[in-house]
Amino acid sequence: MPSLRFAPASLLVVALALVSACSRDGSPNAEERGAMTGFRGVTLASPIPKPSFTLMDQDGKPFDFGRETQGKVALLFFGYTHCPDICPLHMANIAAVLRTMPVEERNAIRVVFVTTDPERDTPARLKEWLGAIDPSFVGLTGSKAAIDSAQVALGLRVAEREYLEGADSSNYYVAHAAQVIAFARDGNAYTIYPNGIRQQDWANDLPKLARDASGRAIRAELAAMERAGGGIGMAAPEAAVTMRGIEIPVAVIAAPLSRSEASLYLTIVNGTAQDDELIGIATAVAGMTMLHESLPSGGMEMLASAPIPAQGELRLEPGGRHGMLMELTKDLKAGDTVFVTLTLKRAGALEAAAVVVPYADLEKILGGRQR
Amino acid sequence: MQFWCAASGTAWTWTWRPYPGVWLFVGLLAFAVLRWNRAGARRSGKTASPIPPRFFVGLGVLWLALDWPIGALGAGYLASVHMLQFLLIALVAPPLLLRGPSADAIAMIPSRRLLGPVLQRLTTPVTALIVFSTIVLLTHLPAIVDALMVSQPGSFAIDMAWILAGLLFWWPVVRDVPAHRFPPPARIGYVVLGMMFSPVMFGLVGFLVYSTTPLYGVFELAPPLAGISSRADHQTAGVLMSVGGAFIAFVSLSIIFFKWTKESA
Repeated sequence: MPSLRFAPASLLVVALALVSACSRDGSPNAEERGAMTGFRGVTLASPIPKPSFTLMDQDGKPFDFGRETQGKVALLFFGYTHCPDICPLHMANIAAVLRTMPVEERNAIRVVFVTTDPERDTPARLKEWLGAIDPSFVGLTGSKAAIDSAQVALGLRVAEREYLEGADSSNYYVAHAAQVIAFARDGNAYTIYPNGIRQQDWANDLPKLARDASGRAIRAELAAMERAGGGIGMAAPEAAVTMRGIEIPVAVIAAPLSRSEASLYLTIVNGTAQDDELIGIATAVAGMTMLHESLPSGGMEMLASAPIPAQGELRLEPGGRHGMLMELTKDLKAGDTVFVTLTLKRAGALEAAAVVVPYADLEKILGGRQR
Repeated sequence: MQFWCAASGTAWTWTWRPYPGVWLFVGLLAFAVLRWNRAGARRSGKTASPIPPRFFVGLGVLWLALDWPIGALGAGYLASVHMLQFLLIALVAPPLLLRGPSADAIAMIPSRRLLGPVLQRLTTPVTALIVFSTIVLLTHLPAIVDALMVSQPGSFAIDMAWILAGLLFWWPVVRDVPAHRFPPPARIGYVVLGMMFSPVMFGLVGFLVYSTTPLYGVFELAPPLAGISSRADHQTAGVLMSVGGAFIAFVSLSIIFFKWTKESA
């Protein structure tokens, strides 16, 4: 019988190679973001000031968001209590981490859940649902118009109902923004937390946010990060890692010369084993969006969808396929962050934070990150 | 339709879903053992005896662990069910499955050019224990679980690794391999070291039970099932690995001991 020298340790080598092969190259994950910026949330190139709105809380009393959260960290999320996945997940993960924090840090944080489904989410329903997660969480409801305007003020896509095929009209989902916006104690949001943020990420960021009463330390940390990354180049492509298996390592909008239209460039990496398709782009800053492809002849073709192969990627880039944002509702300046909702046929809606960059910087950003 | 259970990110429903890959795998396994036994009988000039019922019990356990609902829940929703799957696939099913091949079928292995020497080496107790522990450790590392469970081939690879690890681990205990001189006291020590007081399993249990944040992203970020927190789910997984592993070890130790005393008498 031939002898065979088998080394069990080779198993370890094979497995480690497997892990390396499985790991992404491209967008930083929350842990890598933490190493770069100190924060595991997605840092915004320009902070979002805290909006002012008053809605009704779960006890039926008016709640002035600006006043009630003044001097505190405010974690603001738009969702609905019948949500099967993202909403209970975000709320449960935040609650789990808050329970492990010292009382003084915990008291510096308020979690505010604004329903995007006011019809079903009555104050009583909000109280029952949030009470089961963490009774200290604030649930807000109000008229659809008031809730919509709060979303618009934050640059979020306004939530919409999605009716299930064949189901009655009371049975529906609500497509809504998937990120928690974290307002620091100085009233500005420097970081957002997309779907996919884990408890360990919250455990890293929440104490930092809670301890920094003036926001000075956060600004200093982010400024140092920006300097280390060469200005906008570091902050700009931090689009959200949005869903398991699907990533958006880079999303930028070329700063438009006029208010009529702007181009959206991004990469969607499909790490799953199934083909997918980009079938829709939506954002609160554009009245109309389209998917275009530049033709070699110099013309432009409108596309209904763009394929994202399994274990592959879709690139929207200058001179090729790209998103068109038309009928802009606000002036877009370099450094602005725009939330874009991308609808994929299989994976559903994904949220990306696209940063507006000068046209001259596009090559540098996309060249370095995409090619 | 999915071929094999994998994390899908969609909310859990109790609506039955078919996984034809699981049926195909279980069917092929039964067919392969049947063919193997027939070939063994032909080679030794005997009539093939029927496959012992314990093999089919093992096949049933494997099917139960891989198919809906345990397979689907364990692949993408609950770490505790994932651990139950591990116990069933790697620790419960293999010793039963190993009863399937007849002695004549097993006797064919050494004559196989590549498989023979590989299997002979892999099923020596020390190597089997090292391979089993390595596979158990690797297939429970968060980076590997999170990377593989989101795809069907990845999830399939983990399940196959568990079956392979289980078959190798149990081989020296269940099958008589005279060349290895593995008497009952040594078997008892082997099971105790590999399962009851396995440093690998102890380490994993410690991380699962005492970690302040959930170990596996794939289960932490799965659409939640009402009333089950991610931390409680991970802690249950740790307890299952500890108590379940010890229970299976206890049952197998009892069987080894009673067989030993019976043979001695």
